[in-house]
Amino acid sequence: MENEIKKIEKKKIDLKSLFMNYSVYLVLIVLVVYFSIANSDFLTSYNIENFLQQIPPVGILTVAYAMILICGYVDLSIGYVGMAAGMMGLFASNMGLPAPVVILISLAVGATLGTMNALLIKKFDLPSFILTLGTSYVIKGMLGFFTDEQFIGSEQEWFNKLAKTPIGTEMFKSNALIFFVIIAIAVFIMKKTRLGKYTYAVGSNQEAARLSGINTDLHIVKIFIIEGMLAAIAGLLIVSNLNGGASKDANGLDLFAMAAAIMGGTSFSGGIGTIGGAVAGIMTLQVFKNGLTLMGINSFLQDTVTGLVIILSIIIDYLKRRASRNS
Amino acid sequence: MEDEILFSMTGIEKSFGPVHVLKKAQLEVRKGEIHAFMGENGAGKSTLMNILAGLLEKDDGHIVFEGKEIEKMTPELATELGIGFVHQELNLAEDVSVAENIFIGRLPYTNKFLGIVNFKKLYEDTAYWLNMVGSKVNPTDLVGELSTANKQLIEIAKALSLNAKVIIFDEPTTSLSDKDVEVLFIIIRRLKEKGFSSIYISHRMKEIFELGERITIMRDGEYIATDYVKNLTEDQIISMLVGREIKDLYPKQPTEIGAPYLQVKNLTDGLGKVKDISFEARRGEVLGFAGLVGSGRTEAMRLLFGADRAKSGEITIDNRNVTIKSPVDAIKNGIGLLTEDRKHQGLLAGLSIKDNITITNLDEFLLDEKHLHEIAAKYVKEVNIKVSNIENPVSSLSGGNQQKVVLAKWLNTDNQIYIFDEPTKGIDVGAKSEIYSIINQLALQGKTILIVSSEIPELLGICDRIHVFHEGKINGEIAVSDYRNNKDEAQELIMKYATAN
Repeated sequence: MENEIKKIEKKKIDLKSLFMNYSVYLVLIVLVVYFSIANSDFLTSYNIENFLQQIPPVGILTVAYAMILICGYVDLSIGYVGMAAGMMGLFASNMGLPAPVVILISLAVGATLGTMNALLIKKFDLPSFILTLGTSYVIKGMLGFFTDEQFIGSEQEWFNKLAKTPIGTEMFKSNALIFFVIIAIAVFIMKKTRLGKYTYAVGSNQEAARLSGINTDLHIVKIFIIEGMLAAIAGLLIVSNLNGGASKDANGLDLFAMAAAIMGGTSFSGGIGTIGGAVAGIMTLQVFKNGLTLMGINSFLQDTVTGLVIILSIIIDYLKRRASRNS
Repeated sequence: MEDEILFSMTGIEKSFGPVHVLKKAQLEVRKGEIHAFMGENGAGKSTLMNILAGLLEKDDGHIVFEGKEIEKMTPELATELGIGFVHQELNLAEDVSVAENIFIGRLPYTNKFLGIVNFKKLYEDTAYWLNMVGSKVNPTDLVGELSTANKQLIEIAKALSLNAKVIIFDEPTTSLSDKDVEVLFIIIRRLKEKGFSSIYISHRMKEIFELGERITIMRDGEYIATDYVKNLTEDQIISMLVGREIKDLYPKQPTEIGAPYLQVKNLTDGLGKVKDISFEARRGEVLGFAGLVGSGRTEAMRLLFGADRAKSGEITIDNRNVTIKSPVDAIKNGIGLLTEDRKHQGLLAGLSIKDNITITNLDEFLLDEKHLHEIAAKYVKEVNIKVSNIENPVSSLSGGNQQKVVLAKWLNTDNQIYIFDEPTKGIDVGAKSEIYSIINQLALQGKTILIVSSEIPELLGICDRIHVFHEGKINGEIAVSDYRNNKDEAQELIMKYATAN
């Protein structure tokens, strides 16, 4: 009898921890099911196409953000780094440079800006939060100066197609493909490579990682370079998707990506989190936004509701941590 | 008065999920007594103390405080009853004054509504309590600028100012120098004279015999015995602690001392903490470094490992001149360092046991998880870490087992030179003897071993030679074999070298 009670208790605890561990996936499933039932437009091919067209840039930023957070840092400049790279790609393409060169230039801009962030943080032992806040203003100002924050159109057909070439079906286009490939690569790096393992180690305890023989400074630079290049890809996709762009096109996406990564279980203090969780986080926020739009909710109120969802998710995260501390 | 009971805990039960950590645990403390409380890491001491202080809830059992049964203990009630807790990890706000730390949450006000603090009264009251514990710091000093010993006194003063009747000391001496330990003991004895009770938790036998009147011993969550310390011998206590007899705590076997392997010449840090250090160590040799806390031992080892940059000095390994600018360089040259500060410098708390052990030796970019699992499992077995699943977070282990994980992480590198900085700090006697045998094994394999320790008997037990640091310099050297039958003399000599020119 006593044994049975224990068994039941154990099962209950497991269910609870299951819920806690996979809460973001559960929320995502519940949302999808709910909107599918509540709104007949939700599962239409038009809406799915629309959804898949919107999510890649912010989704890629989320993946990049998750890596930086797991490594123990924050990058508030990620949106402007992405736009700087994207706009630079646009200029290069308008100058008539060939596609591979344009893409390389864009990636190089992202990598350079990422390296600068990392070097400044490490060289002067600066808090990344403040430093990247500074960097974001510097880049924002430069971009504004050169473009007057005006929309600049793309003059090359191939550039516009970068994000919008259908793969097999109209619903699924090249930018979604790029997004899913990046997810797969990032998951692989974080789970199966030394680079990923070191990222968790550095984020968990940088000094212990250094004293374990990890070249932590170099590792942090590497992560910022990867992050900058991912931001560059996101920037290129934004600009390509709109057949051109303005420097402020990524406004808000950066913080949205950070919120999504944290919602997906990435710890703000480093060392904890998964790419899968972060992707589920951004999917959830996007599905939510999309569903609310279909239901005709006022777009300002959508922001409010989205904010509430983010707050709720970090409260769940807090409860999760408290539960794991007590057991 | 003498034998009047202050409180008793009986039949205390506690489980964390499926893990049963306290099984009918008990403890009885009398008024005005210094009660030693011992148990190996993971025996349940901390859990029992946290239940007493209301930080954890008991599943079952009775707590009777001054004759009154306490149904539900909370931190507030514990404070009200007079239970004070000086934690191992001090809980002080570093950036505010001593006075504000002591009276945090209950500052005296001249005008409560406007929140205007009566600093005159605050400083007077603080001075009174500081005087009570014999502390010479000023009430206005910033806590962050004080030494660990002084911070501890402030914790004690705080507990007393809250009308504590009993103060729990959780391993208070782990980060104190010998001199500070003496001061602490004087204060604990003075508290006893004034009728306060103390619960004294420590792994150091010497302290228990010096300070304790009665002792309670726990093992595996169970109560083992309570007795007067003077009725017991050290061996009796050890066998109650580990549940078996430890024949020889220091299993030193004669090793074949080989050729000179490591030579350090004129190592200097440029900050005045390490001045012109030179020494030589051979293959198979265990070289000890004694000295007071802050005498430059740890700093010298960190220079050797590249954790900090040396200003000047020459390092020769196996007759090759080597340059060590970072831990990466050190590991390339076959040097490993087990740091003193396990929590901040040793463990990757968010990672699994497996990841912690294998992180020092990830050769390939692509990880072969299965292979890594096997390696980790091998070392877990070798150093005898008690764990059901090596994928569990390392933070779920007890202190002694965490130390073994750090040890395993370095065994996994197959280094030639191992530096151990306080390898047995804060761990129990069972784990200690296991760590000594591993050190012994390494010496037998012809590795060169450097050990920094503040426990002289430990150094005498496991080293071949001992260098003694004093104010950043090596002030003396002894060959342990010269004192085989006269350890007291060796100990005195080391103390002499450590304290004077």
